[in-house]
Amino acid sequence: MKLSELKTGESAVIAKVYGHGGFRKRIVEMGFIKGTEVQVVLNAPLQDPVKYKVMDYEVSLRRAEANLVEVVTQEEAEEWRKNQPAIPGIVAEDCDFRHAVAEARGKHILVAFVGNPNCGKTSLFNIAGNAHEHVGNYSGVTVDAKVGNMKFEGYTFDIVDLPGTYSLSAYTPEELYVRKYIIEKTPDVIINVVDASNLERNLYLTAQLIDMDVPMIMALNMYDELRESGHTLDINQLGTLLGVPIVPTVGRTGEGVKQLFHEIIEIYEGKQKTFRHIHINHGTLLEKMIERVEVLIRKNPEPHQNYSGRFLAIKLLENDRQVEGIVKMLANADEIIKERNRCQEEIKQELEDDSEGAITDAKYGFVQGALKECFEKKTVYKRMLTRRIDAYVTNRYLGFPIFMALMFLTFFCTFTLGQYPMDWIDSGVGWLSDLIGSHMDDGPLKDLLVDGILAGVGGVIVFLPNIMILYAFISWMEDSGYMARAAFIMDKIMHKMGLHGKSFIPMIMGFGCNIPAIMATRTIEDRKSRLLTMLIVPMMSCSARLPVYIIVIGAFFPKHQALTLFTIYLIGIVMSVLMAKLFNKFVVKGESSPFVMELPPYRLPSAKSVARHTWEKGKQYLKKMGTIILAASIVVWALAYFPHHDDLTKEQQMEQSYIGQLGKAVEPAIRPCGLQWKEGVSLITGVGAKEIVASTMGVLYANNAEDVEAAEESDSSHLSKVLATSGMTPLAAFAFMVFVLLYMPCLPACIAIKHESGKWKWALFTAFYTTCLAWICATLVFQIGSLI
Amino acid sequence: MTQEVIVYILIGLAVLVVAFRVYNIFTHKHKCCEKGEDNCCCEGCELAKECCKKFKVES
Repeated sequence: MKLSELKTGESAVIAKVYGHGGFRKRIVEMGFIKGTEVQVVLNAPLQDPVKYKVMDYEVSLRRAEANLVEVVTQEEAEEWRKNQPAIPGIVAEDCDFRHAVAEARGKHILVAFVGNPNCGKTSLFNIAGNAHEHVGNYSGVTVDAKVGNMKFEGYTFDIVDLPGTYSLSAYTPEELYVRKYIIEKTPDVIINVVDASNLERNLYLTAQLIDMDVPMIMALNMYDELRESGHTLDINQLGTLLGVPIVPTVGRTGEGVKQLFHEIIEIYEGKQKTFRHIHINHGTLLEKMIERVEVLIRKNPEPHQNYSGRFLAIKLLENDRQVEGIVKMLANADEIIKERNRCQEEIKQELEDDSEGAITDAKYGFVQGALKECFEKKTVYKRMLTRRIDAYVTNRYLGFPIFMALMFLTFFCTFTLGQYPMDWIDSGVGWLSDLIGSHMDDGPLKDLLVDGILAGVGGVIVFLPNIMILYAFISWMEDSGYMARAAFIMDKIMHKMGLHGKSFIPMIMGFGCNIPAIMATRTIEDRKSRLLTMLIVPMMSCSARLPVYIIVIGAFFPKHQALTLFTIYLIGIVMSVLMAKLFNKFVVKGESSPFVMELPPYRLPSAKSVARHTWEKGKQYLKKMGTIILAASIVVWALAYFPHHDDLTKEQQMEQSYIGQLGKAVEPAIRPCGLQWKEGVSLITGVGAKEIVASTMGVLYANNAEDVEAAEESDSSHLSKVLATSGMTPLAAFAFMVFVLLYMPCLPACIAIKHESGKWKWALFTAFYTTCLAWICATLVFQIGSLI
Repeated sequence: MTQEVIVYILIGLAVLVVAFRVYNIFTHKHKCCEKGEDNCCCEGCELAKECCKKFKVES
């Protein structure tokens, strides 16, 4: 716990002091050292500052400063003492125990992964932290800080995976966030993950981290690609030049990860020889200007407890608004700003460039210089392969057909490969139904088990293999780097429709689940584009809707399964793009900002990585089956069972039940779409989660099961066969799929829109417009189709 | 115990699960949202923008 969390009168033992530079020196001099007891004497009326008693004298600290001191409570110390084995003849002093507890707590190392987007941070994080976070071969997959931990060589590592960023300016939320995290949380060691196949650009961020003067190690990731490329890199020399120890790693296989953490311990314990702080030389003129500003900043006894004076000076010259805010709090702020302005003027006159551009150029110059010393390019083997593939997949004429063909192949395999395991599960569910049906006495419990739980959950669980196959394909395309190409070829259309180029990434993620896709809109800097993307993401057909399509397609379009599914997904993409154009014109007006889509080299995704993603998805699906889908199936069954009359037939019973009455009430509204009351009820229950559409159909159509015998033999699931005999026409079935595709997103997705947009207005608007659109499109499909 | 009683218990439990899920959806927040002066006190909530005011979409 942090010292700032203690209440008045409470005392604790100092375990660790974070921060560095002047602040750390001052606080240690004041007696805030490991193993010392500290007590909260008084909180100021506005909770800041706080008066502490340490080493028999009182000292006041600001809450932000106290936040940088980790403590253990007396109870924790006592607990630890109890758990220690007694050593005969030795009676330890209290303070020894406190020291030991503090020592043990000090064995915690906080490390943070910082690096460019798509340099493999999350892959390393997953290996190190034994986590299963989503990775993809395109930028912007991590939009939040992920936390994991591991034990290694007697230390406990708290590992944080930060979003990818190209620099530490304050332009985008990610940049600001990463910088703020480094400054405020002061990780013990930063792991700067560098893509070995793209050194120059990645080292620009390293140069900025060096300016920040933070303890750092470099993970030279994807080192296997560097080896294969034939380039030679003198790692030791580069490490010496940068003052940063470098460890080659391969995120896919875990190579080098142990060595990386061993070196982190060395840095933490102060034993690492390579690690030293260097000043990057920005050239004579710029260095002179940095010094002039830095001297004025340093006139203040403590400009900022975590920023170095040089970093503040450089950022001030770069017009960094956040740093300007910090400097404005200083006593001589006016003097500093005036001097900064004078320096900027001089830089402009001398270099004919603004100070920001000049500093960036100087940093790149430093990076190029360092690479010239120790890096030799031999061949361009890997990039040649990438270029050759790109010549086809991003070709003006071939790009789209290849994209379509890959999507079609995905859906084709989803059906054909998924058929076998689907049949096995279906037979298993059928066998269980028969078993219960023949061995249990008639009564409501038997009806609940057979017509409620097995028909509902069993009706949806059979599609688990299909969902896993679809996800495996999406995962493979993401990891290989193809999705970035898909975004690239869609970029022009996106811009025409007023969308940001980056919008395609959340849209692609929407095929898996709309909620992370809505959250992924955070990577879009422009707020208008972000909102616009959020509004259209729900039209990307998520995997939860897949069971409905498979049931309906299996029942009515058995000969053109893949083509029908492909058409449904395509309708979703087309409608989202059209709606974006419409919203851009009338609802969320604004210019789309330019965007350069990074095209990472192709990489063969490891089977382990694809299998892990697929399994994670399957696990999530199964968990849902066992909780909310099961509960929803029971509730739907109850609503269809009560009020119960034994003298009625099953169909009559259902029609007069609560759910039947609800269905009959909404039926007039959906009749123009060719839908009946059972579909209407399924659509309503699907608002909770889209899988419930299918499970509700399972429960409601369970009574038609007797008719299945009459249905012709087909490869479809049991529920598909039931549906085929329900009287629904193929045209109405297609309209139903269009309705499911377009109507309001599930409740959690609506809440995600509210959270991300900050307003209920946009969540309600999305629910309203998508439902209206679904009704219009389904009606058009049914009515026009009926005329043909 | 008769079949009816078991069925009523199961229905009751199912209703509770559904109600809890709906409650959870509407009340879910980053655990640290209530703390801190600017409501941006933890690493997650700042980018999540669930409670942090500075990144809210202005429209």
